[in-house]
Amino acid sequence: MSTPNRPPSTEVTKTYRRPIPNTWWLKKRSTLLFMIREWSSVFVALYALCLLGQLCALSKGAESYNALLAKSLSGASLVLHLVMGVFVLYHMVTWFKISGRIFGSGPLSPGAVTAINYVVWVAASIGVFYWIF
Amino acid sequence: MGLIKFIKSLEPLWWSLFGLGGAIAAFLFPAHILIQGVLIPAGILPKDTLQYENFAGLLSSPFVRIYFLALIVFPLYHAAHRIRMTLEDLRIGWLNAILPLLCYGGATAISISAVVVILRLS
Amino acid sequence: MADQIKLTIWRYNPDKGEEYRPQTFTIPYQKDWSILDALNHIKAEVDGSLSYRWSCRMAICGSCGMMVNGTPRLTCSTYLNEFYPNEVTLEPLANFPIIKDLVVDLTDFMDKLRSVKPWIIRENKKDDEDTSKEYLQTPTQMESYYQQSLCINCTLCYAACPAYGLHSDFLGPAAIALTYRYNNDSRDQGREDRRKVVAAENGVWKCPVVGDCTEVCPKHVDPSAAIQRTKVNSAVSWFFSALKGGKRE
Repeated sequence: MSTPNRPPSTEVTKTYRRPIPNTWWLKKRSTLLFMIREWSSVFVALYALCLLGQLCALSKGAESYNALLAKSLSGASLVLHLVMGVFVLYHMVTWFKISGRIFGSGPLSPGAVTAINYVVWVAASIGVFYWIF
Repeated sequence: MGLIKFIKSLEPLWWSLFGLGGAIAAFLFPAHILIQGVLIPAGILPKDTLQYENFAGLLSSPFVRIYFLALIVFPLYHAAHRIRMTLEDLRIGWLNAILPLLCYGGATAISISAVVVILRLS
Repeated sequence: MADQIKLTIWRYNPDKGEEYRPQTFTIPYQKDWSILDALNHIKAEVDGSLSYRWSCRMAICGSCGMMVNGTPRLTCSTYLNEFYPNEVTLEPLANFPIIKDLVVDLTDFMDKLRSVKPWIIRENKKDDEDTSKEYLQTPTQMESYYQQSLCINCTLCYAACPAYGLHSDFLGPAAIALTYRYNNDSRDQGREDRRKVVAAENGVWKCPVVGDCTEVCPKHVDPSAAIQRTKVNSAVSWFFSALKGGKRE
């Protein structure tokens, strides 16, 4: 990055850099929502680990699996899944919106791309229901 | 520190895994969480699929095994990438130096154990 | 008593030993005044030492950007009547070092802009001297980069970008949007020249997709879309080159 034509003005007075506190994201609605979206990935990871736990118990045999199954049918598990579900849904909604912004150009408007995402999601969900459950 | 540099040089790879994991989580997680985590425990849907014999039968198919592996592995890399980016914003020097290793390394370790678990399914 | 409006302006003058601090001016309110008009009034009638940038008064030069009630705006096209009777707070453009009052040091942006070579690059250097040559372009070809060509380098997007604020090595929205603009121009052959800068660690990959850059852009360039599309292109080209053998940075 050569800058051959820059005038020798770097003898300038002391510039002031405003510090940015670690709470910067709380100051605006857009950055707050951004931060929530980023941390939703923790719940995505959490559910992936739940799935892994399920397969792990399965690999250990019926006794292990049934013990985990009993826990997973409890009220506490339902609440945990509801919490994970809320964050995963937020991840999904923001993901589809951004997909539209990226791939929506020319004949396909951003809104159209987002709508296509939702259609695929419904189809996939129905697929999951019939194929897995 | 050559390892850290190498990990950082794979930036497009981490971003692509982040993208794939995010898509899998967006398209497939809601249905799984709803059905298995909410509707079945709530009694709205029957428990049959989750009974040991049925679930073990389901997981005997190699396609289903690969499906569940993808369901676990890629979203982990998605989360690893987002967690790494967010923690880097804390601007903690020593942490930032090892974050790529911690995050992608962690995701890789868990992914390997997922492969091991799947291979152990009789 | 004529209508009045309060402007609180954050000032700084290291030469006079003046710290970064707010100063409130109460001025006459004219409903057709822009913030720039108000600043010019203050400088002419109240305090001639107030320093700020401006030029065209019509949102094409990109000089007059600053924080208006916490949001990066062009003062020439932001009007007092949007805020009256409430107070207006003016701060220098965020994420840049302050030289004096509302004037910030844009050197870093200029360096980054220069680094992406925002001009038509031809493979055959003789093309640059051949003034008789015409480069025809269809309307469809132009549309593929037109939106990003509207950038006036006002750097409001840098002020809005948390990634740039936290990591000042980040290439930033406008520089990447202009990379996209030139890479997608059918007359340009310089994609390879720009690849290294854009695909570097502090290039596109540092963008966490907040989207505020697109929100504040006065020319609707949509830098965020340009950045995400550049990520896709960069990743695809990285995978292809990795497959062909030998990873490139």
